[in-house]
Amino acid sequence: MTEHLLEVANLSVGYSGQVGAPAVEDFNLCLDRRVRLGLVGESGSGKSSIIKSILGLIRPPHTVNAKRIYLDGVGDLATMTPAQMRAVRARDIGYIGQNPFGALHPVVSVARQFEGFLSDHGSWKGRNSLSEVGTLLSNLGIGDPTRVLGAHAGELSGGMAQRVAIALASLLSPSLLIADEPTTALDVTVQRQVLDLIAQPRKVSEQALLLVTHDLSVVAQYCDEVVVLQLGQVVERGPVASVFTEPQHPYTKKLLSSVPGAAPVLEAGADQGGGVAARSVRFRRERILASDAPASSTTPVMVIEHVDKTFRRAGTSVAAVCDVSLSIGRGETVALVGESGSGKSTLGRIATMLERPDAGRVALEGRDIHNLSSRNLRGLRPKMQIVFQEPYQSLNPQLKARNAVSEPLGNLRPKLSKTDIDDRVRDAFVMAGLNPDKGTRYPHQLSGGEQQRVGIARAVVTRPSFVVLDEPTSSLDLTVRAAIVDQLQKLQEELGMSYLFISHDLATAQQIADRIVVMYKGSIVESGPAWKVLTEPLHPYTQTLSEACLDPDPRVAPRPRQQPVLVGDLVPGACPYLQRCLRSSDQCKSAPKLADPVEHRRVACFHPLDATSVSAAPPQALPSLDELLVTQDPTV
Amino acid sequence: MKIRDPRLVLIARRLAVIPLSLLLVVIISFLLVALIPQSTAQAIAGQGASKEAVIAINRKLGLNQPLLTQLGNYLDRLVHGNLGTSYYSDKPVASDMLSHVPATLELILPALALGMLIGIGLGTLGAYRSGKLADRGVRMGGSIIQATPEFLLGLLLLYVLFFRLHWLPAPTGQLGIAYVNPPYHTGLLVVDAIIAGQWSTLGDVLVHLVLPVLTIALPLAAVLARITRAVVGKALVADHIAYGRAIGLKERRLIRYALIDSRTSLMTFCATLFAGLVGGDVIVESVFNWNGVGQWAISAMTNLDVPAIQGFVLFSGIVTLCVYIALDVAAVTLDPRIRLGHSS
Amino acid sequence: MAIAAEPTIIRPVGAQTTGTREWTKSVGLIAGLVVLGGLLLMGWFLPLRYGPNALGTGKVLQGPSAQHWFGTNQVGQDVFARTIRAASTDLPLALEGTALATIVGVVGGLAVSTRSRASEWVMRGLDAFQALPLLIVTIALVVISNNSLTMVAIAISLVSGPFYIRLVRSQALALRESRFVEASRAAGTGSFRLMIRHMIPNLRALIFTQTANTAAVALLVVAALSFLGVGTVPPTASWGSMIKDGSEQLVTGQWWDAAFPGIALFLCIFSFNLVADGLRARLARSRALEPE
Repeated sequence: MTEHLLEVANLSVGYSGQVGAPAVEDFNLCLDRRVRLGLVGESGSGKSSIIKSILGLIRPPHTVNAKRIYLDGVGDLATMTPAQMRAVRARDIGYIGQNPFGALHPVVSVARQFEGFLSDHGSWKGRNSLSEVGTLLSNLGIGDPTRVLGAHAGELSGGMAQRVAIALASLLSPSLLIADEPTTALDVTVQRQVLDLIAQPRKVSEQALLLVTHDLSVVAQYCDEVVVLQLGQVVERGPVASVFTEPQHPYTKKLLSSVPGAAPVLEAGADQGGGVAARSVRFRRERILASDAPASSTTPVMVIEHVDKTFRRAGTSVAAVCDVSLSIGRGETVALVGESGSGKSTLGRIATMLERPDAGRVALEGRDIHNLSSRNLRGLRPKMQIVFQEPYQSLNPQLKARNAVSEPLGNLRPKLSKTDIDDRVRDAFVMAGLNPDKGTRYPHQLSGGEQQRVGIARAVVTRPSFVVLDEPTSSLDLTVRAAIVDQLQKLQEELGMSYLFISHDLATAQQIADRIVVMYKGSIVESGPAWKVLTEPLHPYTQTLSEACLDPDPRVAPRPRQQPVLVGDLVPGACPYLQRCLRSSDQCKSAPKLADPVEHRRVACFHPLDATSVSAAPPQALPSLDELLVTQDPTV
Repeated sequence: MKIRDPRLVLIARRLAVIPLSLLLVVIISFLLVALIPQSTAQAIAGQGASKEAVIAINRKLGLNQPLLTQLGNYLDRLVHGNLGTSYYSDKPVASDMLSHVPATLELILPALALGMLIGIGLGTLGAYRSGKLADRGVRMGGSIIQATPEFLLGLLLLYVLFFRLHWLPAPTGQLGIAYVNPPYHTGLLVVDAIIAGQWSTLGDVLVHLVLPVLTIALPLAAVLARITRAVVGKALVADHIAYGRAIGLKERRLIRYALIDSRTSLMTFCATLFAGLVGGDVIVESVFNWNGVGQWAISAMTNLDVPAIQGFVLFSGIVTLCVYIALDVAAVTLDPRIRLGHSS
Repeated sequence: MAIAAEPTIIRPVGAQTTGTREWTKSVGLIAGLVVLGGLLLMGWFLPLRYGPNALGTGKVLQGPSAQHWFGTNQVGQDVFARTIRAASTDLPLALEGTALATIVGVVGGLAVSTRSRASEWVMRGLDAFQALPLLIVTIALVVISNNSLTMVAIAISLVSGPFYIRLVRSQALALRESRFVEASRAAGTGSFRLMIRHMIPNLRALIFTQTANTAAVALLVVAALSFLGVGTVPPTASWGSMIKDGSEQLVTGQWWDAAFPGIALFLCIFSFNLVADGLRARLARSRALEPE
């Protein structure tokens, strides 16, 4: 079998109604059987356009021009009619998308969708088909396929939904699988499970994988070859091992140096200008080791003690935060890490009193603020600020950037003069790394990174002592992310602010923080110095998080998974992690308290891990899709 | 933890609001009396009536009592299922009104069905062919019909289809002057004519239905087409549709999925439109001399027949509430999103 | 300090298009305003050959001619004069009702734009109110008030107010809970300034558009009422009552008495809708709550 499985020659994609250059220009690709190819790029790089044109999903008035899009065994896709292309999809090219719930109709049950899918491909054989689907689902790690088949989208978790999508993509055993950011919308802890399913090395089947992603660590660990795209053009391609260790193109180098956690390994490879992340990690490590006592000597800037918060909506109540205590010293950065629903954002909002706690104490610079009236609170607000996750939504579309930044100054008492305000706004722009000329722009005229810089400028314009950063970079591109993180650190050194950095990602947290606090289902389960928590977790949940971090160096094998990811409900009064924990005992039926610090580290677990311990029972490995494909009857 | 069927909880919660809504409807319908100036009795008695006659009427109707007492009396009567007696005809309001309901139902039910068929059909076409000629045509037609008041549309249709083309009969109500009503069974002439086997009468009933039904159905279709275009248009750009396309589902199935997705919203709009028709086809009934409950209400109005007006307001209010309850039950049953509390 | 050099992507949002497209978008708006303004001005100021209420200006039920452009009605009044003059009764009345409905809608909508118990109760009350046959209630009110025109305006606000309140409430709620209002609150901005700087500017497009939509409904209500013989009643010239009178002759072929006021009415409602659509397109940039 010498011929390539997929060959794309001279592909160009143009979007009508947009003035600039075409989205993709003269793209070429050869993909062999069994190969897992990573297509990497930031937003606007054209990676989605490429897979859409391979799938024949780009419609007039937008244009696709290609000399050839040849799929072996099928023919030239570029010359096919829409009806022919429809039959090719799923039968010859499987597709897994970014939004796991996108695969599921909100009203039609999963079983009916499989029925519709199979009958549209002429493969519906009544009950038999359904039981085959059930078998496939259980092979994909779904414990109760009957329940899932009868369920609707809203009744499934993200991981389950993505498994259903994987089943849809593999049911007809296509020779090519396209996965478009398959794990971006999932919780980090589920990411590796899904990747293990779809992107294991091909040993038995001959299926090729085209994995589109912005995440270089995923490529490093799960791909054989890589193509790097920038603004619609290929800047570098080759085997993962060589591209990652000896990148040639400056853009590739910049990308690689922007990966959080990449620092120690890549320092040598990356050029001097790009090694921002590396520098900061080293700096922080030195500082913590030198002081050996983070946040103790002076009064903490922010103190949170025994805070509770329960939300009641439509009859049900959700305990978002329960009995959380935390203090942040002057100039310190504490990272609050957890998956969605852990209560980390609520805690951030409580710290800035955007949300009032049901119980507990919140103090800013030694002064209680949880019991202040809104009016009295307003006077203190300039001292504590917040930067939100969604840069565009956090700016009023009707206000120019300059006016958004000057607004907090208008609330200062005594009032500032007009020239003072102008000067300070200009300063804030520069501090946030933004050209002050952009002040006349409206939010929609700024890029995502610039919008976030405006948000940062607005937060620092009043020179606050405490800033909550609620996932400030998670909606941004990798290189922009690194630049923003760098800017935030410089600002901190300059102004001596304290940060509460909220993140779902341990690697990013470790990069910026002095201390890491891990939250799970509303409680703190572990806290300690940043680099220790990531590398030597004490709590089983932290271990799950740390195992979820993939190493951006292809030579470093992924940490073996010790913790299975199960979905569990909260048992009242028990350890919140009970349902997911492998180490649980009867003792865990009562909730563990956060223990007193040992070497600055605290953990809420009756059976903490220690650095040397290895879990007795590694989780049972599931078969990968690769193996499933051959056990499947290809004529289904 | 007690596990209850969330469906039942939701329906129970909606039902709990009903008595309150009912009370509000009753009070508002009652307040209409309170707003009547003192000259009501005068108006009823006639211009030349003596002072004594006016006072007698006031006493007879209880208009001289304090407002709260009147409200009390009114509620008391309602509790006993009595909507009062018409000032004008001295007949009980309830039976008088109900005898006119079948004629209205015979008008609005087919009109709603036709309006839904055309509106949802064309709206879906517009949504699917968004921006294309078909879409622009539907939108243009819709905005022209929406800018045409019902009475004008009715007259236009009448002029063209009756006067110019002679395709349809004169607006003499449900039947031509040469016909008599079939024996009474249901009050619905179509059904009664079929029961009696009077086929020529049935034909006459049907041709008389065409114009008023069209007059109601076209604006309904225009409104529904616009709403459907928006709702289904949004459903068609949902992630699951793009995904379905990427895994090779047929376009027909994708459109069906989009319609299923929009089902609840469209149902809500249709129910709202139906509820509006119960008290709102007054104008069409008046244009086509249709002896329905709307005409009846208008004549009650011109006669200042307060119990009749109150009775009608209350009746339509209750019908509307019933439609909404039915809608809620249907929505909760059909849409897992509402069941799971994902929708507002 | 380094200034970030990131590529600026100017997204094509709303009105951010080329000059010609911009112009075509406003065609409807301008045309609508011209028609409405023209009719209103003519209704007020156009010198007419015959008085709108003058009887026997020519033979009765005469078709359009050089003498009587729109013909005459069954009592020999000049249909052209009446059609034009009716604009000066119907349009201002509709606009008064619209103004009232807008005040009710905006003030009411903002007042209940919280998630408090009280707001929920008000919304429940509105539900019940909207369950009433509003057209009948309206007619009843106007009849009872002896055809008072003020009551017609009030009736319009009763018909369109509840929907307006709902619309403003839902947008205002979304704004109150939006990230940028939260960010502004976090910066210590008080509720008055929040309203002036953040809420009102972002509600502007909705209010303008909805006001134009309401005007179309209001004119429809005015015409429907006078068609049914309440509100503006003869001898005052009004489109609805003219169409009612003309409808009697329609089935015998004298179409002009109903057609010309009908066309005027149609043009006005169509124009209001054009204005609404035009405003929506022009103010599209303030779609604050839609993600990019």
